[in-house]
Amino acid sequence: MSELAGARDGQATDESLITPAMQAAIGSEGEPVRVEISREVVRRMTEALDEDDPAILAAIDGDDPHPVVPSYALICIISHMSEMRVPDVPGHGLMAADDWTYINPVRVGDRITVRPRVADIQERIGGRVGHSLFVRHEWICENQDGVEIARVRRTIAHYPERDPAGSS
Amino acid sequence: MNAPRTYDEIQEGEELPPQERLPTHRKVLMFIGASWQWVPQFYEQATAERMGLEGPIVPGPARMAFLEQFLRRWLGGAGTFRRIHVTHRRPDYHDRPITIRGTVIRKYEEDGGKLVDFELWIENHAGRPSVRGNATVAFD
Repeated sequence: MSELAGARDGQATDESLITPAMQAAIGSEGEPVRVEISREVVRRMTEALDEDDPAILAAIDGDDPHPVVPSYALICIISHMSEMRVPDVPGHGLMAADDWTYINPVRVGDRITVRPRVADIQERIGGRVGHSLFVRHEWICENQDGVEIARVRRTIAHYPERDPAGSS
Repeated sequence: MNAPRTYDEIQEGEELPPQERLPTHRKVLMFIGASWQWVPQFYEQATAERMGLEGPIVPGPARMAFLEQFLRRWLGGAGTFRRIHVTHRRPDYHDRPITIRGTVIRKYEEDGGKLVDFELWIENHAGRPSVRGNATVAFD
């Protein structure tokens, strides 16, 4: 079950949603995504999340030019931009699962390279939301020194949009 | 924040005191802006409805951050996060309270390191689990 459990039932069909283009995308690697961990973005993140850890707040506002940032900052900063587009997959999707392994700390000023890959696509017929596709992405994240900092597996559930008229 | 906890102080089966949280519309927008996640279902009613949702939802990465913050507060900043895994079971909506809960699952030593596994989850405003996950924290 996924976040989709909160969505209303989709329109079920027995015809496979997996197209040849989707099939071909499995195992493909995307262009590396590069992002810098900026102090200002981390500060805004801590404000949005009501961060109250004095050590984190002091580090972000302190004199150290490269303080370690909370691990959630990496999740939040690279999350959306690293997802590869898969051909023919319905445009909207919801996160179904996320698995992050942190290997080395991330610091302000780090320039992160994310190497994305489409690991798998699975189809589910039936259930609460009807016919849906689960796309599993994998990312390897390295810093500017080529040191691996994290490995990520994310599963996104895609399903056809409902009729705008809202028939159910 | 609690005082920093040591590995020896943590007990298997221990329940972490639950924390209530209100992800307001304003805070969610701040999060989206900071992380540049302009995904329409996070802020747009019409898109959310087309996807069969009741309204704009709290982004998954924000919910993961809630879990990490919750655990870090309980740990008093001690330990290093090694892994966090979550499954998103139901959406959480803007301006509806959530409750974050956790339990100590296992303490063990592996490759010379001291590790603790936690089960973490979020309950939505109706008391139903919206996120379930687990995390592993390493201690010196």
